[in-house]
Amino acid sequence: MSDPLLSVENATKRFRTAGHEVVALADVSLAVEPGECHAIIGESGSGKSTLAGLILGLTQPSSGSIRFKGETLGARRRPLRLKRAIQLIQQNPLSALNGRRTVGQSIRLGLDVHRLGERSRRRERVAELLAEVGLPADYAARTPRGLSGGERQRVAIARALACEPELLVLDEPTSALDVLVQARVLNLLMRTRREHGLTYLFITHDLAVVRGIADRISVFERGRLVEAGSTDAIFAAPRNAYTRRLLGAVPVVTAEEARYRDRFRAEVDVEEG
Amino acid sequence: MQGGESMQVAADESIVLAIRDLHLAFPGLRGPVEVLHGVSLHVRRGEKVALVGESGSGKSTIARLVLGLLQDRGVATVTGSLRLKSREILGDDSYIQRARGDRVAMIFQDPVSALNPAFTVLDQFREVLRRANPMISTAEASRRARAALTDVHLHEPDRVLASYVFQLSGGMSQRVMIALALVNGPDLLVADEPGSSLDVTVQARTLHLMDDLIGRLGTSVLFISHNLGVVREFAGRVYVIYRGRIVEHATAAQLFADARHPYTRALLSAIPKLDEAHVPEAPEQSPAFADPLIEHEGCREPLPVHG
Amino acid sequence: MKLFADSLGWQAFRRNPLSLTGLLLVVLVVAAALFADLIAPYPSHAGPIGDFAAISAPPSNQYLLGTDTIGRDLLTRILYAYRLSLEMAAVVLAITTPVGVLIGLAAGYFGPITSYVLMRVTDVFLSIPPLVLALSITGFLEPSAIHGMMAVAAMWWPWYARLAYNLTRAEKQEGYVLAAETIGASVPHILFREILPNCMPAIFTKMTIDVGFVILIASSLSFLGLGAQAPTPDLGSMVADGAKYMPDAWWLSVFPALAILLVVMGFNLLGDGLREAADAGR
Repeated sequence: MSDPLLSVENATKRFRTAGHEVVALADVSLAVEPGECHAIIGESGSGKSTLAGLILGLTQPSSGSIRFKGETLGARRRPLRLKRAIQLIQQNPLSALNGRRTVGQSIRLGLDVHRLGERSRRRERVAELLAEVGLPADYAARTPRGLSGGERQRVAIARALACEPELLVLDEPTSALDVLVQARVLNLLMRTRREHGLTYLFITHDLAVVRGIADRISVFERGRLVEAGSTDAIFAAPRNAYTRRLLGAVPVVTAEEARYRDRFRAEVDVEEG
Repeated sequence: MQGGESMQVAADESIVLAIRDLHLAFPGLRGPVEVLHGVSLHVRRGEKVALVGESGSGKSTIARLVLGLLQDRGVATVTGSLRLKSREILGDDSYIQRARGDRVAMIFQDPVSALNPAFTVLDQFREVLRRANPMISTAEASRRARAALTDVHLHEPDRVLASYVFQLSGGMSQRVMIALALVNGPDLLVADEPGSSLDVTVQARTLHLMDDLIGRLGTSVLFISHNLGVVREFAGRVYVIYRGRIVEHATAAQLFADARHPYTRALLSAIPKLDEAHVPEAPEQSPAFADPLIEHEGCREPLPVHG
Repeated sequence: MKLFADSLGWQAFRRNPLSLTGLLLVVLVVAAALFADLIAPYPSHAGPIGDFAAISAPPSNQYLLGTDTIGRDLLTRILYAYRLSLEMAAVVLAITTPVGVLIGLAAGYFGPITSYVLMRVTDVFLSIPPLVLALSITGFLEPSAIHGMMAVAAMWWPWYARLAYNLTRAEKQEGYVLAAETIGASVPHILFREILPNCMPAIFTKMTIDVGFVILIASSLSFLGLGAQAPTPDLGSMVADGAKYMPDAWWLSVFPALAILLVVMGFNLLGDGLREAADAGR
């Protein structure tokens, strides 16, 4: 059994807001194996965004540690080679691209920062990356204005791939996209992972997506890891009450799905307040 | 002819919303851009009708037209007919201005931005209640507001009434929005992507209680959504809209068991399934998506009113 | 002019009669300043010697806006004064914009301590009444056009710092900044190649409106005798010189004052029009 690519060990994160303390993550431990697609399931307040922030180095854990290939991601200024190895795909395609820079400039940033390839070759490299995400080469000269959500996400993927990363953190990458576009982008993401041997940390609230793409799942509720295991095992027999409630609340479109989901239906109650 | 006419009148009375051959264009850089190309749909009393489409299909534009929100600005060019209980709204702002909030109400995707942050919940109830009854007393308004909040299963209604919107959680503000929309017992509720900004568990709870309340009040609903799962759960009849045209019209049962239009079939096949351990096939963009309207059995538009 | 790269913005601008008026006024003023040598009827009157036969003459066919107390043609002097005003505005803005924007960018992007220190310094300058600050500076130094410019520059930069600070803080929330940070881009790259271009439309609009106000403040200083000195033609000084002869030789003050009004209004309307066009284009 190989060492995990990423391991989170007893990570806790506390924030101070408006006078009181919020525990965003409480004693969370998980391991992501190289080459796997690991899904983080959580709703708002689950701590999934905080976890992403810790992994990307935006904040430091209050206690516990995060290790990448055995190396602790502790120091304030992460070395460039570590930054390169862990890249991000964001949820909001509108805000993720700089409207004042061309698509080509955005994609090229990683190449320039990490000095990948001969400078004279970098323009071609951008064209290669565009082709890989299914966009025409002449998009390099365009600005993001006028690009659809799906196209912008593709540019974001190309931008991340330019760095030749090992781990890709995907924070709800398709939640803001239309149904047909979402299917295309998901297919692109899975193909990319296969072809480049990438590891994915896929953060989402959409259980149907998780069923289709994830090897293993970690379920978060209010900052705690409440259930973890292989996708097949968890969907076959979810043990935690919160996981079951989540499954029971999913809107489905086929009768087969409904039969599966309705096993957990009774657990959705009506009270609020 | 007598019998036929009276049948038509009876049929018309049960129709709360009737849209016929609606065309809408916005001014663009190089001339007008047509957004709706002859849309027809109807909602009868007590029905829950869904309008499903992706972004850019025109579904939200239709929602705003029904509430008379687009005509106000005089930006769009609209032709066709849009009747609320037999009153024509297009070209005549007066009725819809009075009816909004009273006879027809709307709930939005994001409750926090749809409700006024400067007023307490009670203030907003008073304003809505006054639309139906300008003379309503403060005491009566408070009583009805409290009752409305109890109807949406909010504990401590007095605390909520005294709060501002930003002090409430997402689920609570959604319920407040629903209560505000239904407090005057409108004939028609237009729900634009309700709950889509909420967590799945909160959305499920909220939609169930909305369904419950609507059932008790007998309100008709026009449900705008991009989420077919939610539509399957709550709609009786469904219209699928693609690029400003209705392409399929069926009951929910018919649509999900036997979708016939290429676009609808593509949508359904592209949705990830809870019981499939692989990514759904991505359907190719196809000219067949623009195929003409398919109406399932029993799903026709009612004939236009004569005279 | 990246602002008009999208024609939606240009269309909005074109449709607004006030923006077009502003543009027209600005073009006129700039043309007057650039071509003063060619269009001024009596170029020599820009200096210390006028027509002694026509001292304080009212507007006539010979001297369209009248002459001053030394017989110098007012129209000529106003045209040359426009040149000085625009030069001053250009120099002041060329200094204050980079300084202010740099401080604002840094304050908006870096951590709480840097931000606090920089913005408090900015606040201190903002809290001093502008003319008082300008007066103290020109009080130390001899009154001259250059010292007047320095005084205006000293009190002007904080506005750009504050604008850049607010813009940077807003842009910092955007996804593209997070993306650049995740990729590992350097801080100068993020500030100047990612964030700053997004701030430029607002900064540029402010600069346009400011031309008018800088001219107004500079004229106020020279009205008090602290700016350009005789015989250099300067709008503020001209208003001051003519003030004692009001209301008899009214043209001595009124025309220079109108000239100030025209240039301030022109740049204001143009700037407002640009701002609306930028909003429409978004």
